[in-house]
Amino acid sequence: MSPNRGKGRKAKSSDAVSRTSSPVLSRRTFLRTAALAAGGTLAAGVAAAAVASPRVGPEAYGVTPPHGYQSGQGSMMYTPGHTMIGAKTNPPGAPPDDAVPYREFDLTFELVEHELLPGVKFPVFAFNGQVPGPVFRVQENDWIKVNVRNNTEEMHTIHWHGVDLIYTMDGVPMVAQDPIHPDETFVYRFQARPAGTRFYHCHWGTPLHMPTALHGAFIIDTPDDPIRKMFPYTRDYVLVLEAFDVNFSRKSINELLRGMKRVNKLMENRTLTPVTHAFFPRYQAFLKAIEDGWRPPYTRGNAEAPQIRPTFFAINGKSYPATVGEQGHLKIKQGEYIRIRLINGGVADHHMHLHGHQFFVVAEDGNPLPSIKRVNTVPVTPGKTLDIVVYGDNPGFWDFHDHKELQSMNNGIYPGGMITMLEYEDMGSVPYVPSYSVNQ
Amino acid sequence: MRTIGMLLCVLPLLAVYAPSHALELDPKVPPEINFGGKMLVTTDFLREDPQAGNASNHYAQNLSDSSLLFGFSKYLFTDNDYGFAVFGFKLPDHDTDLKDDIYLHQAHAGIGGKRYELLLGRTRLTNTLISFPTVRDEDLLAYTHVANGQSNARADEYQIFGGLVRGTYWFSPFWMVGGALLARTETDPADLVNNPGISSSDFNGGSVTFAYDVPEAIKFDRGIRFAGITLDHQRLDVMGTSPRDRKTALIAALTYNLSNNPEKTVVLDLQGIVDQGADALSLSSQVERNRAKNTAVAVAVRYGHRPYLQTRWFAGVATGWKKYDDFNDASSFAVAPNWLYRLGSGVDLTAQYVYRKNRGDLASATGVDGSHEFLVGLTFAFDATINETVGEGRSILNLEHNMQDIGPAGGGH
Repeated sequence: MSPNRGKGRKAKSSDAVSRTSSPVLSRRTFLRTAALAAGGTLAAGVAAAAVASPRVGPEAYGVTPPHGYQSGQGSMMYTPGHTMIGAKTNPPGAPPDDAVPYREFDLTFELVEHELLPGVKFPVFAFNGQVPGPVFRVQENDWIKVNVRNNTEEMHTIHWHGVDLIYTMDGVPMVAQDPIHPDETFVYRFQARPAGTRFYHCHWGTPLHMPTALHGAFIIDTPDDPIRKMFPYTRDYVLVLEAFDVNFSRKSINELLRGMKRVNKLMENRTLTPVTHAFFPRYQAFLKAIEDGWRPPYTRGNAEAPQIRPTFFAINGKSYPATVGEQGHLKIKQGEYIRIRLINGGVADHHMHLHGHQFFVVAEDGNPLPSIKRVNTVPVTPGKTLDIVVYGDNPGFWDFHDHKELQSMNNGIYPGGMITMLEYEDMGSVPYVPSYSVNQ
Repeated sequence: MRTIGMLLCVLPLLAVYAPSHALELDPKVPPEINFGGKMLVTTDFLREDPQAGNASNHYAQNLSDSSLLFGFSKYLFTDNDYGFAVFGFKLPDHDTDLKDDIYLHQAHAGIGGKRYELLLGRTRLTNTLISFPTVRDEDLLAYTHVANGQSNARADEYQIFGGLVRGTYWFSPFWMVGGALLARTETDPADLVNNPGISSSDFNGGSVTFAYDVPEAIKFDRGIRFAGITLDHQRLDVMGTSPRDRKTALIAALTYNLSNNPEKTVVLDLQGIVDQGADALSLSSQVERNRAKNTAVAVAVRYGHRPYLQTRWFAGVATGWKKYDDFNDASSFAVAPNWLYRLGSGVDLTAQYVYRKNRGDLASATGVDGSHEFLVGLTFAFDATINETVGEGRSILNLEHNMQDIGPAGGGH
């Protein structure tokens, strides 16, 4: 039983010790490593080279000296007590609190059951328990401080997608920071720039965490917005486009919960090694583990790869016909410009088509485009943001949907999924009022 | 008349199939399909020491316990509850009354949810609590299972499997209570060759189980992994040879983690059976031994060598002791050390030695003093899932005996 067990134990990252592998491999080790990497006759040539250059530093493994000699900790497995419960981590690299005027925000990682539309609920990881996460609206060059607490049993990070920030705040686990452990609070500090439509998402277990729901809009405004100057829009909509494989989410999250309970318990017991969990302080350690008989998960008997097949598609967390109100329903008046920020936070391509209008594509990845296109359909691929401006010149109720029609369905039933509506508010008496159908 | 007869045959089929055709708006939902199986091939050497005469040696290829399983499941309308069905067949022992037959050992359906499960049909009886580390289910059967007082057949399947209506309720992830109506197979002792099975559908008993079972995710952390008791009751009516009677048995079991290290597991399994028995005049026949009052204890220790949580090999030793309380010094003892070496996922080399010893009235009644059995073989086990929609089920292989798995019978991992 670990003497350091129990809640209340604070283990800061500065407490951690790093295990530093020897930068020099023995010739014999290198020969065997080379054989593993290259195999067959190629290995013989590599081995010959090793004789001529017996000292092999970290630069041989992809990190330029002198940076390569001090690796990050990576996991609480390296932490005395093997726990980060209650820890508050202030990573290095950003100005201290009294150096710049921070705008402070609080976020949490939560595991919640989310209702996509009536009758369909599934478990998701979500920022502040909402899907998508809350919209940040900040001014360009604001200093931002985000205290994010992990209220789940899984590890997470936040990547500020498209923001040019200090690399220690970039949220890539093992590259820029240690993952945020259960019951740990991590403080991101950075300056919001450049202006534009950005977003944030979890970068841990990315194929699951980001598309399940750990994503949200991060809008950086500027008073010198060239788009507003060109198109004096009055309303600004944010549409986060999402693709959900509810079965995959349900299965994966259940497995994660089981697995993390086990991992957390074993780490408390100090019976789990970093290798068991596939953590390595250095690339050499990874090679050494393979040499010692550890088999990486991707080599285990050609195990079946997980299949992610989204069957529900959503705008701001809701699938049609639940795409009402804040969930994507767009309103406009005649003669009005509206700006729509499209953010693809999922894993599918979407081809957003607006009926009855030729809209302006004004920004890509948050950055104003040098030449503006006028189209009625625009592709939004994963990780991309596109800003469009619609001019109110054709009164009516207009379909705005993913023209990849298989994604305008709910579990294969049309209509559903990524469909919403552009509604003119100033039509007066109308010849036809929309109703709802969810099975045509 | 012939036409009417054909119609009568077809009508039940229409009744089953009709809903998908007649004004039914709900779509036909394809099930999640789990299939799995195990090929267990061993070469057995058996040396039997009779009470009189010379020892006899037997060599055989043994395919028993090889099986194929098909499971189907769907969510119910509630979306949190599920329905399921399983078909499975296996090869029985080569030297039993079932011989080369294929035995349908799993044929059941049920519904379940987060806290409950209701199962109807044939599957494992509730007459044991722990799956002991032996290569085959039946290697220490006399010590690990409450015997079927209805069966006079040399068919281990009649001891292990039967019809059930079983309900299970989990108060918490750790605590459960279960109850079952049981339909053990009844046999005709007078004509075992031509008619070994008389009925496998008449309800003739029941059981109640209360257990503490640590969830798989944290099983390495606890001393006690499993503890449970079962009260098993049988109504006996063996076709004309014995008066109607009843017998009741109490099973108590404990699985204890001796090591907290998941890379080097050491687990102790203990189970005791106190079978109050029914009237039995001798121990010479199978059914009389099954009905006789007895006390049985089984103990096993197993070691798992799992560096980096990747299984390399298992070694175990299981022992059993049984005493027939109404007879003179009638007892038996068995010990079964075994070993398994993993060649790949589900592909294992296995070896086992079993020593059995009979004493007193039991040796006299059976004419056997003891035996030595050695086997070596290969196991190929697999499971796969198609259209994974319900998920969260344990591997269908948990329905089968598995010497590597630790803990309660039927899985629990």
